Amino acid sequence: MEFTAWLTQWFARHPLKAPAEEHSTQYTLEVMQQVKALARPVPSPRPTMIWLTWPRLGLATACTSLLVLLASVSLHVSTMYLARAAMKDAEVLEEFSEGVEEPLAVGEAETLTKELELHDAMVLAEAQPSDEQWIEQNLQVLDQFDDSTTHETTPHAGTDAGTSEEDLLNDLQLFDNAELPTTS
Amino acid sequence: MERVVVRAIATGRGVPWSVILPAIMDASDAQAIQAVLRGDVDRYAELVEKYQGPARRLALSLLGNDEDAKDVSQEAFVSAYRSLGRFRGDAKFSTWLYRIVVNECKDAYKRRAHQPRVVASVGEPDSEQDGPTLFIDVHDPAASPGDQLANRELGRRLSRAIEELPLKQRTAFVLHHVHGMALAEVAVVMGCRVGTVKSHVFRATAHLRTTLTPWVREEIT
Repeated sequence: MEFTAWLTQWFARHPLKAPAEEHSTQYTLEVMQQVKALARPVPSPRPTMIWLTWPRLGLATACTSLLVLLASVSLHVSTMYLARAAMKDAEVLEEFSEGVEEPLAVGEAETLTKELELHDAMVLAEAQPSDEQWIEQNLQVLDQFDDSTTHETTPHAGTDAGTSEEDLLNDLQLFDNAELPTTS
Repeated sequence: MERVVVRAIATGRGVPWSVILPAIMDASDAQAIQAVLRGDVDRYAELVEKYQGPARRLALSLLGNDEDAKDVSQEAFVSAYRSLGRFRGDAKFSTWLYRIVVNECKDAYKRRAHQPRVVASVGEPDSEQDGPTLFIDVHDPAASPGDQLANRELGRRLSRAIEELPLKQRTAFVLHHVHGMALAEVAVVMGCRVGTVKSHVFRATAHLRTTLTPWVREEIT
């Protein structure tokens, strides 16, 4: 025999004990004394908290729908705020750009063309020379500088270049000889 | 008619108490409740007389003490009277009352601030262990003295095993196996789903099987 069946059978064989009959009346009297001290119960016109008996799925669906609605409304409000700000900016820009966007008159266009041509001419006149011209000018300046330096070295030009180098070496050697004893 | 009544209960309007109550519950209970709600408070004594036994036994099986069971069941009747106006009649009055008794038992646990030493007990009174109060009658005049002794020992061990159960498992097990309630009715009394009740009863039975199998091996094999 299975344990559950045995348990059921055992409890069926041994029923619940009944309270003693002599205490039954006393029990009822005690309850009625407490009951009569209370106010009479009034039937409620409709069951209270009837929505709690609905299925939990329905309640969960309602809560989820409410949350989604709140989220969409809040998103819509924030989007509307941004849209309004953009609209205001557009209005301001439109106010500023009204004069510029007007079409030019025929006379004004001709005047403006002439002014632009004059401006271009001035720009061209003040423009820097080309790179080749700049290089030529600099070369000329350098030639002039070379000429001036050669003229300045003419007092020592009595000997040739080789002698001047030998003199320079001799001077250096003399200088070294003079320096070495002092350092040792 | 029944469909109309169910719809009326669901919507809470349209059908008077005189129509709803007799269709759902015992006619005498419905008449007594209507009379009390009309102002005839003495008719409530009929309900107390009728259901004090089951209510007291239920409290005793959960609390394990006759005095506590008496106090708790009386408090349950007073609470039921206070809430009688909100009783919708979608369950039997007894089921509704048992639910109040179970809730009062839970409150009794909280008031004690500790678990009872013995919660449920079966078996004959025993001078060696006079703590438990009995709610199962194991006395069998036709049984031999040896069988009576075995029954008493088995009842004692069963009491201890039930005492070890958590409160919810103990309540579900006692209501289903000891008081013979259907699982659906136990679910209404405990205020939970039928599946939850099944789970509680299954776990409680598994615990008892583990505990008692060595003592009842001959009978269950």
